[in-house]
Amino acid sequence: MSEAEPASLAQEGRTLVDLALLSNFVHQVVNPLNGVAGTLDNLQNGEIAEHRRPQRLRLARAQIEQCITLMRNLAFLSQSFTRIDPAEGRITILPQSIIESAMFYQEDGASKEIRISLKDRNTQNRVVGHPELIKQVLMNIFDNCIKYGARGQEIEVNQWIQKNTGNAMISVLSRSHLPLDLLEVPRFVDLGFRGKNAKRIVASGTGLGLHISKRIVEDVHGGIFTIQPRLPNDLEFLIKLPHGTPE
Amino acid sequence: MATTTDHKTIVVVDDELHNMLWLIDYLEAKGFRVLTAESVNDALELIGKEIYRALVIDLNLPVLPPLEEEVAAAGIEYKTFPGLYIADKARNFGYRDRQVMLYSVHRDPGVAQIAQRMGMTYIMKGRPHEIKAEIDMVVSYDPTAH
Repeated sequence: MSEAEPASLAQEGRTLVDLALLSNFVHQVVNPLNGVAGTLDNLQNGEIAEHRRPQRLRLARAQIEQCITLMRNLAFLSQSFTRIDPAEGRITILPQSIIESAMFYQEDGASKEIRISLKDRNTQNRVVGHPELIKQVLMNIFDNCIKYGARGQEIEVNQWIQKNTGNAMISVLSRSHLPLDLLEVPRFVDLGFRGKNAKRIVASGTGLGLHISKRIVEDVHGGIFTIQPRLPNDLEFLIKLPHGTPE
Repeated sequence: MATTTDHKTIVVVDDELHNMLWLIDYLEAKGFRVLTAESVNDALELIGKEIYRALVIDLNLPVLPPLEEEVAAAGIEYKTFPGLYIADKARNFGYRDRQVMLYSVHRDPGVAQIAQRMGMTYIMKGRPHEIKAEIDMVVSYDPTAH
């Protein structure tokens, strides 16, 4: 066997992975856009009961925002994740960032009777970091919690500054719809990975969101992003960012 | 040809139903009751009860135990696009060809071939008027109605 062959096979394998990722991505974007197109078509033709129209418009907006989040994920993947210089970093106010990110998922959450609840809305803790990127991380987490979470739950979010390290901490605790496979949890952040149970709830997904989130937290901000199983059937997403400042 | 047993109901099968509410709105505006299913398992249970007026089936659907092996054994197209399995079963239950509509993001040549062989319509998502026109056509005439 020549030396060129393994490289070529590896390249071919990579191309197949890329194509599968792209195919999943297209699926995830076209579905909500199809929803928006259908809603607009119905509105134009008077095919939505009047009392439903405001909700359907809010849903259409949420669907477009979902597409934007997905497309941003793809854009992040194509960029290099360069570390931001703390001296040049902007300030992110934690509760504001959490609330604004959660608002994008209000409508999605309502469809499954899921609420996102921030425990401490008042303490204006801050962190040096890129506000838009931190929001992207939170939106990816909320998207996962709602998509694969148990109906009727309250997703608990908390934020604080760790006294001994000065790290800004954001914790998101969500109950899974199906029992967790503990062996799979560490792989949730792998590029393109989708768990067995995730596929049993929604057949298609990009496997991009949590991977991007980890890279934004760790590569760009020098923080730590972890996902830990918690009893009985919960997942805790923990974001640890350096350079936090308490209120 | 099996007789339609529930003329006023259309079934929509999709695992992301919030993206299909617009179709449900449309069907309800036309006077139909809409039943929904989010997995192959739920859909089979539903369509085994009645011959509804029409089925709109997404292709990418979750398959739950104990059906996983059965669906995979049906062939690669069925394993990749489990909605096809529902469509296949529906035809065996007695649903007429165009009463079963496949509605998907992707156009797969293997699925297209199977759909054509079984006489089912295969429509891509993204152009709402296409699925609306097909539904209008299918519900406009029922050869089994008395």
